[in-house]
Amino acid sequence: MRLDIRKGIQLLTGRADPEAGRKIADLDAGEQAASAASQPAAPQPAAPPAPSSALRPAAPALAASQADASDAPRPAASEADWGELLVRLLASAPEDVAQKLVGCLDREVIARALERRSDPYLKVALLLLKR
Amino acid sequence: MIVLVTSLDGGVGKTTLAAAMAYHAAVDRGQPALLIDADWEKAELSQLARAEHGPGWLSPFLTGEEPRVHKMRDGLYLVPGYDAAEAYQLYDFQISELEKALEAWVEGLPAFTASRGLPPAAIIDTTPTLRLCFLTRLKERGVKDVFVADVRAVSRVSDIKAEQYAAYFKLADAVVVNHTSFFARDAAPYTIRRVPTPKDLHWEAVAKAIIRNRHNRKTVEALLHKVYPAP
Repeated sequence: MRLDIRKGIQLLTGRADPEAGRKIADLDAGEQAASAASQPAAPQPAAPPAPSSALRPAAPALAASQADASDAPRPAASEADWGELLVRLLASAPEDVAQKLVGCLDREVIARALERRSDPYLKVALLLLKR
Repeated sequence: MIVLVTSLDGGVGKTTLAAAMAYHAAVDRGQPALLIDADWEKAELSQLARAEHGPGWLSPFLTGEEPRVHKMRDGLYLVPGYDAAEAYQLYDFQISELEKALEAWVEGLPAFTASRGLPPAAIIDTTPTLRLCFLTRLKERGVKDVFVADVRAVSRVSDIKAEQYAAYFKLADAVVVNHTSFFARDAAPYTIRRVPTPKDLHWEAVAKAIIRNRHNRKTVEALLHKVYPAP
């Protein structure tokens, strides 16, 4: 079942404007091109699926905001403790929420949470925090 | 001006918040609004508003029919979503088709409202877990995204959930946490507190029940000020 996007938008706007919905119609073309490109000319062995984040070892809670995380060993999800949870919560919250939360927490508590990971960047951050 | 009310999880209160925002805008601020029930899974707003069954927001693309706009009260109108909810159950749709139809509404809304004497500003209630790529496209068109969450947003359900929430938070213009019961109550920028369920589950009774609470009223006011400012 396909919807007639061009006809619909012409009805909404009340004009038979060939430009109406052009950008949306372009999506059709883009998707078709992508679909065609994704179909191989000859059958090929399927690549192994990328592991989901659930299967990644020692999965970090947050993706984008922690892209700069070090390669230091991390505790497995099952071993996650209060420090891990606190850091994940703060990192995943919107910045203004995180600021408020950090403002409510004792500096020593944050330092203890950060000390749980062996990472040179965190060590520098801790030095600054304790200064 | 178009506001999209979105969520990751279902049952967080999108429809209730959309109704409360629209009510407060139209009744308390005198700022007319058009609601669009684009929750193609349930069309609950159409039911709460007791809208007549008939062509809704999807019909222009599905059958070529004009949508039947429902007047909720003075200055407040609804484009129902029964047609989309039924089509979602009956037909083998690709989600991208529904997304394109909703994107067409965003593009065509100024002309649609101007030619029919409807309010130029719209609040769109949506289905949970709209795709991030789709939300990004709408934001590029100037749509404001009000993301609604409940306690699941700050609970550690799983790493995957935390990643998903982080991605949706990034796109949102405002995050509303509903039914807060612990520390997030005072930390999140916009929170809605639980109120007694009105006996009459009509949209206006629900919206009034939400706004009667002083905290909720302040939240809705602040939210409208941010994403739905008076012209």
